[in-house]
Amino acid sequence: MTEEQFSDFTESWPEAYLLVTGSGRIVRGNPVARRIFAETGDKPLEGRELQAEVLDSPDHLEKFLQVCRRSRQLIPGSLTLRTSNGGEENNAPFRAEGTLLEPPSDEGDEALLLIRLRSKVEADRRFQKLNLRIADLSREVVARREAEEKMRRLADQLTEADRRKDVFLATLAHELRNPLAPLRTGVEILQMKKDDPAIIDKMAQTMERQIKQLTVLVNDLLDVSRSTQNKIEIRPESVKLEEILHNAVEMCRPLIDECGHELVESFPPPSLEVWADPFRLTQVVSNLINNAAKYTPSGGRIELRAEQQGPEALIVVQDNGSGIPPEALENIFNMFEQLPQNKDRTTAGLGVGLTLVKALVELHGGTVSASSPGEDQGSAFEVRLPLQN
Amino acid sequence: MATDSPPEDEMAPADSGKPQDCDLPLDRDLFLRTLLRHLSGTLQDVVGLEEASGFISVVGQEIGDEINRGYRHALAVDSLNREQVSEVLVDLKKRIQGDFYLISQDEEKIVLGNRACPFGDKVLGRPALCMMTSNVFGGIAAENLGYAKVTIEEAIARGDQGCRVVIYLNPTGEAKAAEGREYFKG
Repeated sequence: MTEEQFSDFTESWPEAYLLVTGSGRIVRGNPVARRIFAETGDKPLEGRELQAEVLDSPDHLEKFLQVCRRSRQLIPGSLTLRTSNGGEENNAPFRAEGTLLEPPSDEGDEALLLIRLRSKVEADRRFQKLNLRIADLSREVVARREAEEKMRRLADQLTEADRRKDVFLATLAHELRNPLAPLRTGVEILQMKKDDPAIIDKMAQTMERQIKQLTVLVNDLLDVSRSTQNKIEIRPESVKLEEILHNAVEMCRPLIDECGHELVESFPPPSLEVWADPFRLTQVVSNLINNAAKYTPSGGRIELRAEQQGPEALIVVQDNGSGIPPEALENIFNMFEQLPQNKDRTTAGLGVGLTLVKALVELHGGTVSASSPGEDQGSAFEVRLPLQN
Repeated sequence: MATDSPPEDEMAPADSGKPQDCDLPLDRDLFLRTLLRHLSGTLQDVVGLEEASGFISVVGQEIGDEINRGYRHALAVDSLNREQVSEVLVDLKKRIQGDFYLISQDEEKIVLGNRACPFGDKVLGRPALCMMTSNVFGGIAAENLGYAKVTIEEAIARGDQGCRVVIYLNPTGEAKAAEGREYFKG
């Protein structure tokens, strides 16, 4: 490479380039080099000794130049230059890369080396900026992926909620229609057998049962609707827990007897009182007992017990019925969640009972939990309530 | 080529359960060769073989200089002639468990063969280590004879049965046409 070729190639390059003899005399520099080395009219760059321009030891520079002289590889190294920046002298570390352009000639001309200089500080700064940008991009990618994952989960949840709603509507239609048939039949029979008191009486009882069932269904629906809008009000007072349990058992007795279940009761002493709305707490316990009855094959066993545990009252409803699979336990209190019912069940449901139980217990400042060893191994529901306000 | 490191499932477990009783392929030689393998691998992968050649040149020339000074001093000469350069290159490899041998030499070139690499199986897939040999050979040859161009025609590292290294001593047409690296007296 001639000096003219060097100038042509390196004139507009952003790094400093030097043409240097094998012994370290500067032959030429590009504009960036001339600026770094503070070339002036009185002190041109050409002819300077590189050793005078660096703060490194002679051994360090010679070692670098020697490796460059001996191979046409691009040799990496480092030099600390005396630089000038706006008239102020600085000591700046530079990355140096050198390569042999021309070996020494037989006529005694020295080898010619091309050296490129890049500011370490500047390079580090750019590298740091790049790293920061990469880190930002990585964070953006991660955030985007998380958002996409969240959207996907929400979509799945919405799909599942939609599916449960559809199942619920179908069940609701079925459950509401069930009492209507005997009611319609009852009305027809009453019209036909106006003069038969026995039949009138029997039909009246049947119709009354169906109307009660309809009423329970509608009331449950209304309660659940209110609970989702936080509109259920409770009127707590000091109530004897034993009375609540008795009332709940009385409400559920027809279903328990119909299913042929054994109900084992273990009630607390009459002195044990809780701070609760008596109607709503009875509703909680009766819902749990009804559930146990529905999900236990005929002739099963239901246990209802309650006791004081420290500052809380514990109510447990346990059965030896169809149990709850582990994957269903997590969602058992969700709206419209229903497990497959027993084949011999006599009473249906909308899948809102446990949702209502949870909402009412939490309104009382308590907790409810479900556990089950697994399918066909029964289940237990525990309600904990504070004893006093 | 024999493998230095047997598969892990062939290593017998220690009865005593103590580290010092474990049958492990770990000693200084194996450790250093494995270390070099990983270093050169990282250099190849991260920097790239071509860009890494400069780094390897720096190291290879330093090693070559030390070896050159050692032999000159031991042989009590200021400079090695061509025959001595050939013998030195074969001897230095032999001392580090390589198996180089002289195929031919004349005024234009020295041709060496090799049956075993000093790095053992650690050299497989590591052409960066061959570059080290090129720099050491080329540096010693150029420092003593003025010029060298080293061409590695066959290499165990590349999967060949053995190595064949040609060291051109003059920039002839044949040398210029050959693919390799040039070295000059510094």
